Amino acid sequence: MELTVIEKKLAHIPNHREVGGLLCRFIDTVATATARGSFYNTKEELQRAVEEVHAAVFSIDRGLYTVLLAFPSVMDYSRQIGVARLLSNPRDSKLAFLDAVQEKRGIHYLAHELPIQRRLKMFEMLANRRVNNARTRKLILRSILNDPKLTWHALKYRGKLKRALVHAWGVKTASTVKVVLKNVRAKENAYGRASPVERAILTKNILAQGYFNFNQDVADAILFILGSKEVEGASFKAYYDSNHDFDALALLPPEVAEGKRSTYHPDRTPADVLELTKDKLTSGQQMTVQRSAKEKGVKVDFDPRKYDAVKLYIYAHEMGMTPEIKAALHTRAIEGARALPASFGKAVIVLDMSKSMLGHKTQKYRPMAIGLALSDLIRAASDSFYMLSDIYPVVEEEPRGHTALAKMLLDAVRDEGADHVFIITDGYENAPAGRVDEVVAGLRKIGNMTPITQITPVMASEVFGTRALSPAVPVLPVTSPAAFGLALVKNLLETDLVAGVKALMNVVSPKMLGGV
Amino acid sequence: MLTTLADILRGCEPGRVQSVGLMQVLPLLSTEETGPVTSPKALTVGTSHYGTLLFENPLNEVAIVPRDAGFLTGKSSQDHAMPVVGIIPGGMTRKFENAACIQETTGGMIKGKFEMIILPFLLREAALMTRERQEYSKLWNVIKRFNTAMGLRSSGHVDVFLNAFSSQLDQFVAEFEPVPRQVGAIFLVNGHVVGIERVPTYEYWLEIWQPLVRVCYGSLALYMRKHVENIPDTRVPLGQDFDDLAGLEEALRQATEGEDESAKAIVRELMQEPLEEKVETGVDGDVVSSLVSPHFAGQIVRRAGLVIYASILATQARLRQERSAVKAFAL
Repeated sequence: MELTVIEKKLAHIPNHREVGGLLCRFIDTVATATARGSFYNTKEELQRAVEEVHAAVFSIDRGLYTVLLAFPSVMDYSRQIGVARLLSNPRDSKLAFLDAVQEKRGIHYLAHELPIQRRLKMFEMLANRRVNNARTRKLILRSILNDPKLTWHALKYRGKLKRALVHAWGVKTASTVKVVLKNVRAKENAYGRASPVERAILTKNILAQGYFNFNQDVADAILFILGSKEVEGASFKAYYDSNHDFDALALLPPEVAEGKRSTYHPDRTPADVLELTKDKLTSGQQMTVQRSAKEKGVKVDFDPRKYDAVKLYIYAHEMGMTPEIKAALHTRAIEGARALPASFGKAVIVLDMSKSMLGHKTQKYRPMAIGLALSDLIRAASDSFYMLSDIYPVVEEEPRGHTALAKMLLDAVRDEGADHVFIITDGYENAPAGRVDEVVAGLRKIGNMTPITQITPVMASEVFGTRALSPAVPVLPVTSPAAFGLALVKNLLETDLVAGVKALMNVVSPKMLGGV
Repeated sequence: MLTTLADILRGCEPGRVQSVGLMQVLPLLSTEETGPVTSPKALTVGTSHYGTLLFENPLNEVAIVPRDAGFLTGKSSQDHAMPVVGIIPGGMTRKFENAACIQETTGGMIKGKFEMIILPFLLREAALMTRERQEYSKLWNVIKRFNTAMGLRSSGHVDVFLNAFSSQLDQFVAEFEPVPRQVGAIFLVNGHVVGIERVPTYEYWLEIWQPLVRVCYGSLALYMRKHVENIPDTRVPLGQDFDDLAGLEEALRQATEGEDESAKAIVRELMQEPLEEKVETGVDGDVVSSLVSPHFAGQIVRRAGLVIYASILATQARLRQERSAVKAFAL
């Protein structure tokens, strides 16, 4: 999209500066907000605040809203409620940044960027809000019926899939589909032998929604999801057989198998299940079960190259740093730095290692892990690098103590001769509060204009945006090293809406709209 | 018997002052070995009838229930609070008949593990004064006046205040942080000492930190914020007499040391303040005493003569005296 086109598309937005500010606030929110509580705010407070800022941007332009949500590193939570909002509100005749076809692609893109469990959560959200228009029904059915892992997901998320299908089809149609599929199965699963009425029902509700050839696996999965026990697929049969046959658990997802064990095989241990299903663990599960696997004497393979830097730091904090993890972190930092639009000369990081950087109990150590991963990224994107911290930031250390950043900031400028200082902190300063602001004002007063940026890890912050150490220091809230790129876009949006949106589209358009 | 704050804080050393707004916290650090203590988290809490609290200590070590610990059930049974320090011998259950209900119109007994708070600062003196009365409703009127003073409806429910100011209290507790080796703190509001807290171990402090700072001192800070606008004299702003980096560094050093010193000077003045110590009870060698002076009141626990727990607050009289320009909180 050329700049002129973007200018035209934004012509209906009157006050670019004001809107740019709002979009920046939106970016702060969508880059940080999750559906969980933080160290400082309850889940409900966060949800309310997030909904408010979503509504504000949506009311300006739903197309721009869609594009912003598609930016890499926007949290899944914001994408979930964003898609729900787009589907809940019909397009009106007003000008919008995206036309109807582009918006449809955008919604599809956003929905399919979500991992399956969050996509299903979003479908649940739509059902709870009673959003059942044609666009919603299509999205749900096409997403589920075209899922290449439908069999596996049916076993894992049976209840959620059933709720989604029943919401899209309606209770009566879902029941009809189930009966017809059973009949077809009775005819040796031959679609060709179905009666014209049966074929019409299957065509309308399944084939027309998906782009696959009718096959036994899909029919079995739908029947299983809708509660039928008359299914032939080996995994589905194993689901029922495992009630009395422990070895049948081997075909089930590990968490389902563990649930079955505790109900039907209480004499067997979780370690037995782990041994049986260890080959089926996802890479995420392989990481999370390391500790229990170790305790239970089960060896589960763990390949650090498959994980992002934040997860690796959390893992290393828990289980200990290894040369393999270090190497994987180095690789991640180099890859991340290549995707950054800037380098930093001599960068100095002031790292807040105070207690609050430990994060909320639901995401323990995450702020610190993000801080360390960002430090690696900045190091990789700098000619030279130095880090200052109250505690030597080895990953095994717990963040602790007070927050005294002002002295370290001054050291960064005075002793280290930084070209750019990054303060990684949750923004809560207490030794004393406001001292960084005074030092920044002092630096500017004597003509030292070293760029200083505050980077605040996800949710170690307040509801609205993040807590700033100083009004004179730009704040960049980040959920991950990948979100660092948002900084440039945000800065542009603050000063020049058109240029900011152009930068946004350069990143988003190729993926979401195929370069349109 | 007379004692002093210096005696009570023996074995501790001050940390670096943390300052945000009107509140300053001077951490007390120690690595003194006090002997094993079970912290409140390990206890099972229950009531046998209104105005009682039972504590079951499943571990072998003596447990210390902090003074004015309140337990929030979060359901349709009544929240209760202890007006005194409780000592629970290892492996034993102990009943306190002088507990107070802190939810006027909610009924129901409790048993289990519940969220612990330390009562709002402005209720604690009244709680201490009524520690010998066995009357479950003894704090309701005080709680009502406290809620009214905080701009809420007159209600004998502490949870009315907690719900209304939940986000502000969360914000407040986030401002301050426990530091390594910390076993206590001296709290200053508006440049005056309002509380001295000491516990046996760092682990115990980590457990009590949030309840103490969030509800007890957080509520006082919220109350004071309504009446005081200027930052206290103990806060030292960065000087402006510099024209290069070295000068700025010197100004920062002076401001940092000045702020630390000015808070510590206030505390130092109080170290020889005489406090009347009266032994109240003793369990397995741990002796609970009350402390009274015109300015402070509280309780301590001594083990082999050394103080291992202290919770001493400025009296209402002292607060009124020091805030002559500020409308007094009347109870």
